[in-house]
Amino acid sequence: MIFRALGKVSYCTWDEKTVIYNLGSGNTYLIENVPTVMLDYCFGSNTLGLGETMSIFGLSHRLNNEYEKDFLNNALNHFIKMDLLERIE
Amino acid sequence: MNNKINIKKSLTSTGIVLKLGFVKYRIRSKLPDLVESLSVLYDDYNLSNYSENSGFIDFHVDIKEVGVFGSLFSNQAQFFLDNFAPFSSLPRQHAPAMIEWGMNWCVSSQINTHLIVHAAVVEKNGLAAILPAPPGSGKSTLTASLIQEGWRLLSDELTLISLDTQQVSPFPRPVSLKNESIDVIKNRYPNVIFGPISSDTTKGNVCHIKPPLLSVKNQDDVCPVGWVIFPQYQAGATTEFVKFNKARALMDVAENSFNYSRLGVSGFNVLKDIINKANCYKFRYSQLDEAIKIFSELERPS
Repeated sequence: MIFRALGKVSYCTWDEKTVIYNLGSGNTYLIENVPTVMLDYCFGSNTLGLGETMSIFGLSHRLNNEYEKDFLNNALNHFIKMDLLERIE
Repeated sequence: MNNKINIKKSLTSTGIVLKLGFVKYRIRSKLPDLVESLSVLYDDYNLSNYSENSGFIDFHVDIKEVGVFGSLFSNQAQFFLDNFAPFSSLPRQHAPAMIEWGMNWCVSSQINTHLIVHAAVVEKNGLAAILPAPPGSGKSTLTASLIQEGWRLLSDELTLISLDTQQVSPFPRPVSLKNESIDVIKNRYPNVIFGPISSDTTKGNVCHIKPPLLSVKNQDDVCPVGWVIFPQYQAGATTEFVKFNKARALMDVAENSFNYSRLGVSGFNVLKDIINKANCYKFRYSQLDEAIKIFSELERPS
């Protein structure tokens, strides 16, 4: 999968539960068990730039291959459903 | 001017100015039921006659008799804000409840300098406890009890959190009790002063109680949030007071907010900071004595 961020978000995490606020749409989401490092990578200001594409393999590599591909796919698909990421191919 | 004769004179002519925290209302009405209600429930407030020197008024409200031929042959009353009627008319005897609901609506629909949450809020030792809950959760009964036990009433219905300072701005109003709760508080606190009962409203029997004097006198004293507690009255249940995950608390407070989505990222940021600093709990209770004890032992946030 190749994906890119659709817009900027703000988020905060407490005890493995994260609230994500989409600055573009104003929608707020609660997600569970998504590692902060992944959120930082997908939505942090100093990692993946807005409009910049990334493959799931690249993401896995950036996360030191600590997570199963299915787990990453699942998380990314959730972000796509929330209109936070866009799937390119 | 807080006697019935003066209140009646002002209400029926230029209007009464009522200051509630940082909000100012001008109220006009010719309905006698309102004179009784205002003179009992707002006895401790600084009521004044409206004039050119009253300063900026946030909300100009009227309660008018309405009917096919105006006030003739009518037993209906309607709430107006700037001559706009946001609600249907109600039986005239519901006017005391209608003015309270209408004043709440003014704030919840018009003010955007604050995050507004459908929640009671009380204060002790400089920290506020916010109690967000849907109707029927026992929020008002609990609040009515807490303010008789040393807590300061900041608001029974609307928690106003400043976007600039993240502090709670008091909006101390008469506490609204419904149905069985009226007798519960009457029996428990015989010295509490009740306003007139509005019977058979859409919410059942509704009656407001006068806030404690100190809550009214200190209505300009803002304070930070210490706790966010989600109360749930359940008859016969054992008391349960457990830590609540902050992410879920944030979502639930946002759900109970009137203007979270209108405020955009400012609303999210203020809510995030408040939840981060506060202790959050879920609270189920059936006994007021136990509820009051738990509140008296609340641990201050670190």
